[in-house]
Amino acid sequence: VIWLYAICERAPVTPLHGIGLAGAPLERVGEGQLQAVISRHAELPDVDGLDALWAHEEVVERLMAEGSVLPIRFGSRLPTAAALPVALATHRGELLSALDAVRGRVELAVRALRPAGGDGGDARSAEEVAAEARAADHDAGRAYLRRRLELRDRMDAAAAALHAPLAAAAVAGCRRPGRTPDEVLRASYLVERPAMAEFSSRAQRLQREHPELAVVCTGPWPPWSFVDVPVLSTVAGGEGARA
Amino acid sequence: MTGSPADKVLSASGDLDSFAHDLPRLGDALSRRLDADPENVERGLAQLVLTVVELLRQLIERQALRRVEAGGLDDETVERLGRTLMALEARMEELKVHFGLNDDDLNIDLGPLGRLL
Repeated sequence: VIWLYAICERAPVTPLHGIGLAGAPLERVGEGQLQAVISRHAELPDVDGLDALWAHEEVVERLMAEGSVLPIRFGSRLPTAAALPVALATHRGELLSALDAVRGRVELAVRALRPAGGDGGDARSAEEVAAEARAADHDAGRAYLRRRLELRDRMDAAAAALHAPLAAAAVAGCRRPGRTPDEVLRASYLVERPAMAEFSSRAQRLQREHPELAVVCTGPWPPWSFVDVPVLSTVAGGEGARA
Repeated sequence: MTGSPADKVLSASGDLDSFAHDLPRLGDALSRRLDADPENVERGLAQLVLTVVELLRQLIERQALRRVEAGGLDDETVERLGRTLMALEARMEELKVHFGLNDDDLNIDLGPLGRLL
């Protein structure tokens, strides 16, 4: 099994530092300007737990320290490395411009939660909801819709108030839906390395301006959310599923 | 460079535990694709069915809110719509309690496509 970590530009002399999953040595595979970094395994390495995720992350981050990198999603694998040089050559143009798009930039993630008990949550017990549904109030239905609209608007406004100043300090921003009703913002930003401090201080300022929220800013990460190259999903995702 | 996960926190206030409530899901996604334990098969099936129902409920609600906002619906229709959604939400809550499921259980990780809800 070939485990894939990242695609990067050719580094003719720099040796690869560090090790891959399960202690396997890292290898560069590729032709021309593009190289994929992989490790070879007799069997699928143990991917349970956070250690494997961090091992994968660490390989990508080491590469990132040396140059522009397209990280490949954790879990991507191929039966053999034979198809890689062809895939890299076929999509050379897209990959090179994707590498240019993330050059000198890192991903910073921001999440904001409205802790339980805070205003704006929608955590009601089953009994309350049921009682509400039984209420004979003649406009209970309209009142319900009104409350849902208000909640949605309040969440949207809260998210926008956080997102706008952060996005202004970034090259690109990517918002994802919150996973729970108390998650106001779940977003990633592509930030120029020198702008990291400014971005981070904006996140801190938002925390001060919104004491009712818990705001956390993490990074620098490889540009996981800003790399969308078809070859990565066809080669890694598609073949990987069968590997 | 990665030293430890804590090095990755650039700014935060208060406790970080509240941000970690989806960590167990990560373990599930990595290790247990489908829980086919015979003891839990009813719960597993209920989880799957309720996830789909919840997806539909949310889609219907979003659409309903958009139509209400756009106007053009008479009061009676809006009232009926609201009551239906309210009843649906209440029923979902009952079913979740019955099968011992929480909101986080009603979701499916679709791999590269992200999560369903």
